[in-house]
Amino acid sequence: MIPFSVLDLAPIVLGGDAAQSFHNSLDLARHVEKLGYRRFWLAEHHNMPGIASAATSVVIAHVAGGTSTIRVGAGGIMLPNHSPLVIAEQFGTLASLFPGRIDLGLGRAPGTDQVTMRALRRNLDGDVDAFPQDVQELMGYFNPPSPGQAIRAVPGAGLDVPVWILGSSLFGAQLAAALGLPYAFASHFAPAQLMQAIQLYRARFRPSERLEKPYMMVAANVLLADTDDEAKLLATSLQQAFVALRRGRPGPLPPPLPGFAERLTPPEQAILDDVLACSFIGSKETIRRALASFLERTGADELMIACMVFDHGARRRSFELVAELRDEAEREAKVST
Amino acid sequence: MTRALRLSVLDLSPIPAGCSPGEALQHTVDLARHAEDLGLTRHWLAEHHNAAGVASAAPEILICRLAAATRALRIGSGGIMLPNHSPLKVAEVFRLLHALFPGRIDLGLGRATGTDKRTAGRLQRTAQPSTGDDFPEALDELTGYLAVDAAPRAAWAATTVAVPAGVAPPDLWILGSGESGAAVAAERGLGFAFAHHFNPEDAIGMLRAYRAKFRPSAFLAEPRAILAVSAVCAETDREAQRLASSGELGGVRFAQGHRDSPLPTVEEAASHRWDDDEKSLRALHRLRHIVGSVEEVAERLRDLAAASGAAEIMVQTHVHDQAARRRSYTLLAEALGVKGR
Repeated sequence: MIPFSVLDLAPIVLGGDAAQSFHNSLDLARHVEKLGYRRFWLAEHHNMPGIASAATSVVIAHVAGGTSTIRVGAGGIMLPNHSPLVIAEQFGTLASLFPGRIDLGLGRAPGTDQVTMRALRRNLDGDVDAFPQDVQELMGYFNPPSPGQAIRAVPGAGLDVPVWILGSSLFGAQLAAALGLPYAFASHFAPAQLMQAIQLYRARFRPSERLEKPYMMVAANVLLADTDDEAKLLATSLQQAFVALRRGRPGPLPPPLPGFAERLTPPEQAILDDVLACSFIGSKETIRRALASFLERTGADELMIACMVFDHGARRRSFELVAELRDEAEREAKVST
Repeated sequence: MTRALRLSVLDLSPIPAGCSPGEALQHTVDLARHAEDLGLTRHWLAEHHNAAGVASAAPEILICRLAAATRALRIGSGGIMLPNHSPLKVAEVFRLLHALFPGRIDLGLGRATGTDKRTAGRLQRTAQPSTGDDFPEALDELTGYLAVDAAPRAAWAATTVAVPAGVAPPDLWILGSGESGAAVAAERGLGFAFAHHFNPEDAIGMLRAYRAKFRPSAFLAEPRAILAVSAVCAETDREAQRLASSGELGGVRFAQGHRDSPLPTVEEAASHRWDDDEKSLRALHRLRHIVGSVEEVAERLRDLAAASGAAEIMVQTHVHDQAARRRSYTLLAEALGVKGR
């Protein structure tokens, strides 16, 4: 079975606060570490009242400091919001403090609205068009220092920090392929071009010093509970959040709302069908086959799981059930070979 | 009866020759634990870039690590070099840190870039990097984000909120070594930390001026000042001079524009043949660094504190050997009557 990993948006729930959110993130990281998940990634969003991980690099320090073996990383840093040198120094510092455990995923979206985006950028030449050069500048800082090098990242130079390209369009697939980097597709909220992107990435991949052959990670919403009904009810939090976001009214993650799915208007239903196409919501028995066929269809090397659930205990339980599913599939594969 | 002085650490995470930056950061974690045991008040991390002898380039990450490794010690930046950053990001980072470690986080801010011009250009993503002329405006933008305690909103607001919201501001400090820093801190009602190691002559006058001109703010009701010094002490003056020699050679090289050398060993410093230029730079260096037996150094610090009215001394100690660095703080804490935790 391929490795499973976790994408945590450090949700702030309705009535909760940031401290609770960070406490839960660390607790979840410790939990999934024990359950054998490979990585725990955090994402950069700004000016979003329901996502606490705006200062993503520092949340990574918090989670890595409280765990011991799981890889911790950014999924991702929105590079146009930053100076590549600052990111090299931050991740150089993280990799020095937590050797062999830090991943750096890079995206080119702003992760926020236009006004906030401008406030984030000290200067505005961090254009999306500069993204490929920014990625290369950043990776350059991780090369071993050369004599006479004018600008060095200290710490950073000579450190092993795996760099990933994140994407939800064909652009990222082409860039990851051209640079010979692992590629993660955000199919948990933008699944439309998933299959095309996979094909393009594999076809165009050029081996690099960092990676010999393509490594494709796909993301999905996987929400398991002991019964289908319970899982469906828990999923109404995410559904409400997406509908609110698409209407330009992002808020904290709301509690489950019985009957929400049934009351959706056709346009709302269309929004959710679109953004949540890669979702697996139900009991283990219901999901087993669908998830296996998704992984087979994509040929993914790794699955990244997003699971936005209001109740922390239910969220922990979901990752337990997913781990059981993974382990059962693995045992089955061994028996059949 | 004089009140006991508070003692704190200023840490650049010096990289000793023969050590990696990662080892230097481990020394920093170790020193914070030691500072906590000694009963010191706070441990601040500096921001420097493109210097092979200094590993503290991302103080925000180190603050998180150090705060997690200690329990009562205050942890902060000394300082975030504001021209290199967007005020919004600084607000996001320090709200996060203060949410994680309530009541323990300091945000010290400087107006320099902490590096050379070319590197500042890459940090700021512009060919014309700010050198701090816009510091007051950037500071106001930052304090604006920190003061707005917008509860989680129901919709996009016209303004931007530094997430996570609902977090009290950390303690704010202006770092300075001249008139403008003292004035900004006093006018805006913020704490003030004066860098004696950049400008020993004006330390007393500036700290007095700060107190005289202080105006209370939403952040701070009374003036609060720290005198930051560079010091090395040991049991004997001779040993302290020996330990300090590596910082002298490293400091002289840095002053000559060599950014690519780590902190030399005492052996390297002892065998170094100093030319005339280096000798005069070393003389200048010695004016700014307090080195001697623990009695001498403690007396000097008490005098400086009394004259300036500062209730807290923050010490950076640049020596090659980590055990000697720890020892210097131990001796000083004992001599100043700091009670251990």
